[in-house]
Amino acid sequence: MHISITTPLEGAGLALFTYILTLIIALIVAGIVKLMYRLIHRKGQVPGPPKEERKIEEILT
Amino acid sequence: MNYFGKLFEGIYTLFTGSLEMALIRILLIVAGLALIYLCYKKILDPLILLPMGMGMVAVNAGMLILEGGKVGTMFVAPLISDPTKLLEALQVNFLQPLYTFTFSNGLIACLIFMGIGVITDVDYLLATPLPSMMLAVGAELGTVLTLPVAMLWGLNVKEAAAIAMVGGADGPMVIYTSLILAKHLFIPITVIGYLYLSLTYAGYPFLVKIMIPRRMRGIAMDPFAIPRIPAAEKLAFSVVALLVLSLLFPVAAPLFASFFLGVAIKELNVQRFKEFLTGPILFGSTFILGLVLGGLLSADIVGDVIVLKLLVLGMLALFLSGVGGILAGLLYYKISKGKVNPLLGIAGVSCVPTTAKVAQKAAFDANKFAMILPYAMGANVAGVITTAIICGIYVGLVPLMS
Repeated sequence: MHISITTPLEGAGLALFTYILTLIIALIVAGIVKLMYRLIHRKGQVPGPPKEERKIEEILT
Repeated sequence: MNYFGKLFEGIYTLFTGSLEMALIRILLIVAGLALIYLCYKKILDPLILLPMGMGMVAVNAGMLILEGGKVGTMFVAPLISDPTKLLEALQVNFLQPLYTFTFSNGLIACLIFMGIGVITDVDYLLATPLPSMMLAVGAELGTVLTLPVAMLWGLNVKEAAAIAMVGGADGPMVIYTSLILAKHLFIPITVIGYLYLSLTYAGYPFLVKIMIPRRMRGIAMDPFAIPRIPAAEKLAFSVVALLVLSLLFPVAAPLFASFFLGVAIKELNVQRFKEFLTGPILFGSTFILGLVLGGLLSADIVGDVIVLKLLVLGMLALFLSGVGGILAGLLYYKISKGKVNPLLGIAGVSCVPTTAKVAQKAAFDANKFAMILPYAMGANVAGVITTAIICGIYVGLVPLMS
C-alpha cells in the first residue's frame, strides 16, 4: 500500500502521527531508563555521596 | 570584457548581471557585516556566525566571470553532481573538498554530535526520565506543526519536513534531515537553522517572561535532591539507547552512534578521546561549518523566493516549540502542585545547553536563589533524544509518502 501526502490536511495527519509516535517512543525510552535504574538499584538504596561529602560540596559551590 | 572589468571582476560583475542579483549580493554583504558586528557585540554566538559572516562577505564580494561567461565564485559549487565537473571543482574551489567530503554526506553533523555527546551530562535525565521526556515532547510542537503550515504555503512534504526540523533546535539534525529530504534547500535551511539557534538566546527570554508569571519563574528547586548516577549506569544507558533507537530508525543511526559514542567516552573517562572530541573535533567542525555555510551563501545560490518562506517558517517552528515547551512546563508545575519551576519547559527545546541556560538565567532574574540548571539539563538532553526520534521518523517515513 502506498500512501501519498500531498495536501496540508494530509500533512497535518502526518504531523499528528509523528507526534503520537514520538510520545510513545519517548515513553518507552523513559520506561527503559526507569527499568535500568530499578535493576541496578534493586536493594532500594539511592546512590550518592555520604551527607558529609554533600556538605563539603555545598560549601565549595 | 574591458580592461577594467578584467582587472576588477568583483565590481564589474555587479553591473553585468541583473539588477536583482546585484541587490541580493549587496544585501548579503551587508548581512555578513551585520553578523560580524553582532558577534563583536556578543549578541550572537561567534563560534559559527563569525566565520559565516566573513565567508558571506568574501563570497559575495569575490564574484568573477568563470569559464563559459557564467558569474560564479572560487569558494564552493554545491549543486554539481556530474563526477567530471565535481573533480574539476575539487581542484579549483577552495572549500569544495570540505563541502563534498564532510557536508554532502552528513559527516560534519556526526562530528559535531560526537563532541556534544562528550559535553552532555545525562545524570538528570536518568534521575527524572519521565518528566524530562514529557517536557521534551511538549517542546517538539513546532517540529510537527510547521509541517502542515509549510505545505499550506506550497512546499511539498519533503521540503516541509526539512524546514519543520528547525523547530527541534538541533543544528546537526537540521543539516541531516535537509540533506536527505530536500538537498536543493539544504543551504538556506541549514543557514536559517543555525542563525535562529543563535537567536534563541535572545528571543526565548522574552517568550518565558510573557508566558510565565514572575512568581512561578522564581520557584527554587533543590539540586541536591537529584540522586547521583554511577558512570556504569550512564554507560549502560548510552549503549541501550543507541541499540533501541538504531533498531527503530536505521536511517538516523549515524547520528545516534555519534551522540552516544560521545556519551560513552565521557562516562568511561577516556581522557585522550575526550580532549580530542571536545577540542579539535567539536571546535574544528563548528569552525568549518560556519565558514562553509558562509561560503555557500552567495547570491547565485540563495537568490530564490523560497528563502523568504523558509525564513518565516523557521521562525514559526522555533516559536511554536518554545510555546509547546512552556505549556508542558506549566502543566508539570500544576501536576507537581507548584513544586516544579515551569521554566524547565523551555529547556525541553533541545539546543544544548543554550535553552537550559536561558531557563536558569530567567529563574535567576526572578529569584537569585533559584537554582534549576541541573533539572533543566535533564529536559535539555531529553530534547536531543526526542528531536532524534522525529528526525528518524521524517527521514524514514517521508520519502515513502511523497
